Amino acid sequence: MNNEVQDIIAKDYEYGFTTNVATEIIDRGLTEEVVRLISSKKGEPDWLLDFRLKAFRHWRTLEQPTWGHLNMPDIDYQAISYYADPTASKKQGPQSLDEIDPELMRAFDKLGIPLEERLEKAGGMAVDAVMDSVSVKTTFRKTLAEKGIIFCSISEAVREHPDLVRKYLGSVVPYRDNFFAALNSAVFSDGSFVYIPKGVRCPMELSTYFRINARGTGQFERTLIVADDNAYVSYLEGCTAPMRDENQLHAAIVEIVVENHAEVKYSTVQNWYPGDKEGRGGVLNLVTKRGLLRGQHSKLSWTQVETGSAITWKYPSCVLQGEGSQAEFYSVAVTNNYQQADTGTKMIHLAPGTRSTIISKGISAGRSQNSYRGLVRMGPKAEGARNYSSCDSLLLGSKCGAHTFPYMDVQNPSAVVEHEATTSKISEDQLFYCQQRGISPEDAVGLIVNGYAKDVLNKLPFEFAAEAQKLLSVSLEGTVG
Amino acid sequence: MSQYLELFQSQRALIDGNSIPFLNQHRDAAAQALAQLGLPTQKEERYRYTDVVGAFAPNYGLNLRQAHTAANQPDAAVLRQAEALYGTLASVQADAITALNTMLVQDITVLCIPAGEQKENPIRVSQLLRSTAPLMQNRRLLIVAEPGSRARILLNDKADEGQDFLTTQVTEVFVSEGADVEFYDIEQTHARCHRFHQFYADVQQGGRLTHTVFTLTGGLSRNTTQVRLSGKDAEANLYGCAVIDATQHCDNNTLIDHAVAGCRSNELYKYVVDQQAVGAFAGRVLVRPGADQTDSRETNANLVCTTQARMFTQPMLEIYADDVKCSHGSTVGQLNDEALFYMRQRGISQADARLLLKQAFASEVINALPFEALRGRLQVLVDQRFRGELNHCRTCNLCGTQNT
Repeated sequence: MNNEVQDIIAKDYEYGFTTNVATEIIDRGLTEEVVRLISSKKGEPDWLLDFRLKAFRHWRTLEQPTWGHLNMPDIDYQAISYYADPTASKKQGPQSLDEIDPELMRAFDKLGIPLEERLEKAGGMAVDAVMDSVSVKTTFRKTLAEKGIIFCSISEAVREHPDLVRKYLGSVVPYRDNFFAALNSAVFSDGSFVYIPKGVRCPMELSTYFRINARGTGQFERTLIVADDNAYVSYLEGCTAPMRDENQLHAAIVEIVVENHAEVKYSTVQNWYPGDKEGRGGVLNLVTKRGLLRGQHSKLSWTQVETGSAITWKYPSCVLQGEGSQAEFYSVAVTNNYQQADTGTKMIHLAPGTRSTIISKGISAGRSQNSYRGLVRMGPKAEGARNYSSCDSLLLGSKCGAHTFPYMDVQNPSAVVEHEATTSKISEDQLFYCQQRGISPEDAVGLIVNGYAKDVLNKLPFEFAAEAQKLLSVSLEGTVG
Repeated sequence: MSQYLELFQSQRALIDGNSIPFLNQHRDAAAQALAQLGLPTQKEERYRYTDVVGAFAPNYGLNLRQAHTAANQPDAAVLRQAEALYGTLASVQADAITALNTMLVQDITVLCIPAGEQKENPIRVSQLLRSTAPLMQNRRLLIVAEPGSRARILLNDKADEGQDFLTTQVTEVFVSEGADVEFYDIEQTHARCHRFHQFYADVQQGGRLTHTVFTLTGGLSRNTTQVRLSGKDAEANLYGCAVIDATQHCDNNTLIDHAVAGCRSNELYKYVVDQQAVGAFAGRVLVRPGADQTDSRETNANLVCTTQARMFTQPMLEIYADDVKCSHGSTVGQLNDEALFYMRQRGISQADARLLLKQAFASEVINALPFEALRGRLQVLVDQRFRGELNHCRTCNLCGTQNT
């Protein structure tokens, strides 16, 4: 590829700063005592401790899976601290803005996440900000409460809405699901809880911002979203981490339950620290995300823009259990330098008339490896079910890899499954055409890549679309060639 | 699996004594590899759709005494060539079934097409299974197409009714510079047959390999097809068609390895899966670093006819070079309602209309084949198969007794 393109200098990771707040970190290592300690620090009821212990005992019987197309560094699970609380100096957790450490406020400001409830700044978005293991602040709580919407950290939800949490926690991703799900179920710290009551349309975007700050810790958040009959919610998730030369573990669980005629949109812009140019450090992003479309004609859409993390290994999935339910998965995954991604989705059709769409765009540059892996299963009862999948890969450079591993399993004669995939590079002709018209090589590549990813970027909520577009060009800078 | 290793240890002298001598040199390494690998379980990605352990579990008899019947004494030069090439593509370390075959096989069919020779008429290799007790047979085929030669090979597998059979077959094909090999593999066995065919080919510069597998009748069929394109401008075409019903199981697992720049590959597999049958297709295309200007297409289309039938499909691309053109497409669906309606309107019965559409579906594979004379024959076989009239005895005159 073009030499000029090759010469463009890389832009560094923008969010690599650390915040100096007094953080309470428990000792490294994972034992039953640690699980009990986390639970007691959060003042959890017995049933939850029980759930954690069951998960922990199950986790000890498992081995870390190796089937991903990934070159995974060994993870020493005893060398990680499983709980870090940056708000520890305030005993009960912050009640108002004044109680939040100004350092923390500044940190989130720097990230562009406003914790003050000012509409013009937040763009009408309610935010739950989570640093390390603890939710720092959830904004717009009152406005939402008027409509009966619950949006708070999961620890709070356990205290204030135990029945709801107990009913839904682990109902979509049971602790026995996989190695990382068991680990998360044992040690999960904070995350968001969203409940949209029957017939309510959430008036604003809900957003959670995750940040790993402390050294030697992992983040194990847990998000639970329930949309009751006829409800609607759009939820955004963003994440960053400081630059460190060690690998930090992020093993989260996201569970979504969608009831009759309800709709949930879940968007992620994942920008964890990807490691340096030699592949040192970076976040290991090993996440289980799954939605259960329980109700008839329910709808769930996953949109993800994955630009960060040293290793991304996740498959946001949908179980289409309700008749006529609809699921969508839109993904752009960018890997650069030594990043590795093995990501995709699972669409499990169990009911008649269910429909799913998968649009995946992979972009690999540098020495990275980018794989799409997806499953489409049509159960015997999925009469007239329909799936369309399309996954495209764009290769920028000759030392990277782009792989596609789609799995299809069809057990119904009236179901229709279609899959297509292409792999290509940016054509010299397109570049030449742009440059002829006075567009610099850097801009031309950005233009072409954005055009390529447009199908997915268009699905993002407005607030995120611009950010994602910018992120996409930043991630690729200096590597094109 | 242990019974095979034990048999090998205890009957070593008998096996060696009734074999082509050079086959004996590879047995120890194969036994060692098999002991180490063990038969693949369904946790292994390459065998996730086929229960290999279950297929090899029953006790089959092996005819160790008469296995090697040298019908014609081979030419010494051909033998030397075969000896040098034997096992170089079919690595015992990489695959347990290949290891098991190498450990026990006693006879080999060697086809050598001399440089520049153009064979228009097909070379027919017919394999018939007859036994009065459950039988295991291990087969080996080695094909060398010397530079500029051309050959068509037709492999036809049949079996007598009423008995359980387990066969392993390992085929190695060496396509030299500018050679052109067409390989047609047609299976017409029965529900009590378990067949494992491991096919390995290497295609040199400017060479072309066409591999075709038709699974018509049978029990369990597992075809592993691995083609390495190791010279510039080499080409591989892989075609497959499976018409399966009852409790048939057909699993095609392919790997096309683009090892160097400027090669082409094309894959087309179609399945019609009826009743309780299970079909599986996993096609992996590997483009190695530096294999630029690769042009690869892969298509898999399937019809699933009942709620008990099941189809797994997995088209995979693994690409480590950037200047490539690769695509794959896969569909699973049913017969087109509009087309059915059109024919019904014109007085064609439902059954006939469905049959016509299925025939049309399968004929895409048949029409893609370069061997014109075979197309008509295959079309007839496939039509008979759809009508449930395919009886392999009718088209076979191998044993002479049951030909009615």
